[in-house]
Amino acid sequence: MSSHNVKIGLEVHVQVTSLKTKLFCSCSSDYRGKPPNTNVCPTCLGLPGSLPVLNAEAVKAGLMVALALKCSISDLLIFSRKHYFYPDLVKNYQISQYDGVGGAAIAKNGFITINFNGGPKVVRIRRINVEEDPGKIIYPTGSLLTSKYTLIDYNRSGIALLEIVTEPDLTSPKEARIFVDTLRSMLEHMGLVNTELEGSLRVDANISLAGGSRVEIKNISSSKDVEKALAYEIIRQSKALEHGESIRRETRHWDDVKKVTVPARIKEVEEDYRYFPDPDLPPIKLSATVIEEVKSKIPELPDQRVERFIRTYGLSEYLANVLVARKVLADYFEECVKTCKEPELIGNIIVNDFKRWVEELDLSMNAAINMLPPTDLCRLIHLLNGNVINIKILKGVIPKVLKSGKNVETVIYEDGYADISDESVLMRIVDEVIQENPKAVSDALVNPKAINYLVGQVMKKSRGRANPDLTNKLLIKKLNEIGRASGSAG
Amino acid sequence: MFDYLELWLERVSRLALISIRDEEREVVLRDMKKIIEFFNSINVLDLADVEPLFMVLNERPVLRDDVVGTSLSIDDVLANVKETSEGYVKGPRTA
Amino acid sequence: MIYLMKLLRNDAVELVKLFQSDPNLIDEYVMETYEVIDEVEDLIKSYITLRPLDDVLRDCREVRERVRKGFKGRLAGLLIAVKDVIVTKNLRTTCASKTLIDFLPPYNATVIDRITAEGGIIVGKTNMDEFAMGSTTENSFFFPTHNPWDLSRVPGGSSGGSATAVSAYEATMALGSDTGGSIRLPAAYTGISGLKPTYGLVSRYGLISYGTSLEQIGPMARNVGDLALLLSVIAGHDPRDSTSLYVDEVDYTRFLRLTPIKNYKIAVIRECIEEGVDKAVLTSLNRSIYLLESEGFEISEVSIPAIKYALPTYYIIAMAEASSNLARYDGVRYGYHVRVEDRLWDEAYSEVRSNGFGIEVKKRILLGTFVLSAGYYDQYYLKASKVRKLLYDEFLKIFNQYDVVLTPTAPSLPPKIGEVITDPMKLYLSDIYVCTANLVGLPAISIPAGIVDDMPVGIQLIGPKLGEGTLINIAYIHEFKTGLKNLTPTVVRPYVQS
Ligand SMILES: [Mg+2]
Ligand SMILES: [Zn+2]
Repeated sequence: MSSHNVKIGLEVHVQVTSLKTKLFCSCSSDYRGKPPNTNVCPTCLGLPGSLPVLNAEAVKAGLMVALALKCSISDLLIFSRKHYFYPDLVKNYQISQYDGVGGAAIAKNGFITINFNGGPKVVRIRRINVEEDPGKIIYPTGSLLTSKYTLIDYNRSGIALLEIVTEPDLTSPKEARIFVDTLRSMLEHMGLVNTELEGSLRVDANISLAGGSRVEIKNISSSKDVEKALAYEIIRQSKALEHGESIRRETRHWDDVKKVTVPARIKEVEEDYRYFPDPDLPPIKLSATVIEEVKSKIPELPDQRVERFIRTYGLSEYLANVLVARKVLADYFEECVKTCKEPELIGNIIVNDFKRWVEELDLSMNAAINMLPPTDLCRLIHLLNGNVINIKILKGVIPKVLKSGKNVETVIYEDGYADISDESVLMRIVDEVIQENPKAVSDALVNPKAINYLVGQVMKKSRGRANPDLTNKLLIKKLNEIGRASGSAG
Repeated sequence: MFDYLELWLERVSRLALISIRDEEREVVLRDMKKIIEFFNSINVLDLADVEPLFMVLNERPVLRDDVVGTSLSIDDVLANVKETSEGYVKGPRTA
Repeated sequence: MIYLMKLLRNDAVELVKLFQSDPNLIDEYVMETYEVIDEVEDLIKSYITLRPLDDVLRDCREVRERVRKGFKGRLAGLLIAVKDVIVTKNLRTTCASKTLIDFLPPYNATVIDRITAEGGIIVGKTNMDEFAMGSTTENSFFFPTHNPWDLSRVPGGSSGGSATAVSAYEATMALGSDTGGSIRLPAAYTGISGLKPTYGLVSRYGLISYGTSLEQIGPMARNVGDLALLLSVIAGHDPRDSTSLYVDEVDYTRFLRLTPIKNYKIAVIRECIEEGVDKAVLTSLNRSIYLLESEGFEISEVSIPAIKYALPTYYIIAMAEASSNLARYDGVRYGYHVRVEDRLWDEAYSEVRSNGFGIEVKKRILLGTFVLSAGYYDQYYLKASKVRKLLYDEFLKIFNQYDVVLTPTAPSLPPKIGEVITDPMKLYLSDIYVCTANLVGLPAISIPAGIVDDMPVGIQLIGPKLGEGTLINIAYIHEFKTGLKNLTPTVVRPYVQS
């Protein structure tokens, strides 16, 4: 692949999901799942006479990303109008930013260091724009080509977006994927973007092969698909070049169902966006004070966190990097370590088992963590340390939990993975047996020897896996409690 | 006589999505020519050292706190829409 | 002959006082106004949408009850006409365009909320040039408006309907909008006063945009006192408009004083009187100069050579902004519409826009698109923005030395209907003295300065940033000295007892 001298540049659009309202109006930013066109006002519907008023928090979000990406920041925050006609665009221009005469991007000339092939690589950031998201078009047949009309929901119209554009510094699909993952983790760590929300991160990728023209692939919605789409394009383009065909400059669309790129527009529209500074939005001075204030609020970023993981928990660089690549995962790791120590073991289990299964089963990280919360993972480690289960069993329990949604205890119990020496598991069976055998219980209360019947019942119920000593101990304890309770009642 | 202007008109019509009817064409082209010449009158000025003023400056532009306000009712939203479908606005094809 | 106007001849402040002492007079006043409308509206055509008398009487009853309970709204009971470029909730707002022929806004402009909060009652939506593009009110999709002084002449534009409604006593006051003279020109042509405020003094929220960076909503009235009253109500900070200035509320009626607040220094711009001005206009202007001098004001001539580039500069910027502001009219969400099924978006949009907009609007959008397009931006839009800066700096300098600038409002008397509309250069020329104030964002007022051949002539005073008080003070003195107040145009003379 590298023989083709591939150049890739990315344009990443992220919604600032931490904001409560849209970029230029006070409609809620929480538009997902609402009935169509119920989250709009005159401004985000572009009604005649309406005006935009900038969300002050959005400026801070833009500045924070600019600082984290080591950009130089513009003296003035200037919004420009980008003109093109499209049914999802209420004013037929998008309020965006323009790095040219009369305009400015909030920030430019930054970089991100990614880890690729075991070494660091610097990817330059060309610019960052603050802009508004358009509404959403739904195709009644499900296909853009066959629908006779479109259905438009403007609930998303006006959501605050950051557009982050790289220089064409990436040289392979894998590298592009790692870049997106690294950027995503930074945004997550700054608390600005919940990337688990559908559509919160969208990538356009530009790719050119030596001897070909630049092709833009629009609307890719995950880092995995970034890699796939680019790999697909390289094969498509290199085949064409090998056959002596020329690659023309065009825009293509990523079909994430068929996993292919298709020409995006039947019609090639002349591109002349006629940018000019939006007279509805006077330029805002970005003072050193504001920038300092934002700087002081930047939380620990991924590279700092990796370093800390290595230093504090003695993790390998690899483990630390994989954990920190997703903020939720790194948070999960730290929560577990807090509960049951053993950072290296936990790190290994999370990376090699938990994360692998989450990906295999295509679960969201948050949902998976809910299924196996830190206390449950720690219980497994506790059982492992008490030699109740071995590491092989532990590794087997994790996918069972993630697949079934049952908790750790249930899985262990049902699958007969262990001698039941765990008090809480056994207690559940003891309780059941006491409930089901009231006569035997009252017998045992007057005649201690009658307890043997109850022990037998527990053994039966646990299919012989209950630890006899512990069973005895627990039954006596329970009977004593019952005895005391009835005694004091009488 | 209007060859160059005809091309010009075709380009801006395409960008603005506005077409000029045949019967309006001659008058429009004549007026456009006059107006562009009128615009050209500022070209005599040497303004290389002058900063542009795009809008009268406002030292304290208005910003908004990030607080949720009220949105329009669906009836108000759709009241002016001519074609709707189950709460959606019906739009033309995009391909 | 029945004399219709008894109450109507009072100034607004007097009317409000009368209504406070006898709230029943509000009904009488409304009836009088509607009688005048019945008589003259067919001749002059001020209104695109006139509210039915019953609806207005219902509002009026509400205000009457509030007044009875002690409400002291500054406009309580007054009928106010609103240019149809300002959105009014559930009251059709068309911009005089087929594009918005049935648009029912779901919200009010800030100025409308301010007026109704003070007890003002909207009487109707007035005619204008489509999307405020024009200087004669002939470019309306509906009909042209006629000048109440001479029905064969235009009333000026684009706020022509607001001007004629006020001039002909069809409303007590009106709101206009002024992008390049659209309040002041029709005010001059119809013998009333009109003021374009400092950019950012009056909220643009709810003003349908034409030239965003240039325009302001402003008051129009038959006398300076009424003008000051309405300005006091509509001016003030609005958090819904990013360009709104942080200003305290000002009661402009306190500038209605015959003793000048200071000894004013007035600058007359040489380039505005040297050539191209009608004799009638010049005569009136000179009389005003003489009169102001006799007040003890110091009057000097200044030169701003760049001002001769103001007109093309204004038109380049206004059209550029218009091409952007009017992009939203595609028929999908509101307004003139074509069926979408099996239509490609650009074809459907093109049909809507080509049929919905009138020819002047189309021309301006196309030219505005041109001056912003790749390869021409630097030559036109950017260059115009630099001329704008030159003018801005020139005016800053002048206001270091002078309190106000004096010019004619229009270079000539109102043209005949049909006379200038066919030639864009003649049409645009009427804005030559008024458009500069919009480029530099400064307040400017037009007031009557004389009546020549039974046609009114106006002069313009331009003030420094937030200098509305100064303009009102001088205008008030001028009005008193000339007696040019509450003028009666020909069309209503039969109904006034002289
Ligand atoms: Mg973008
Ligand atoms: Zn909104």
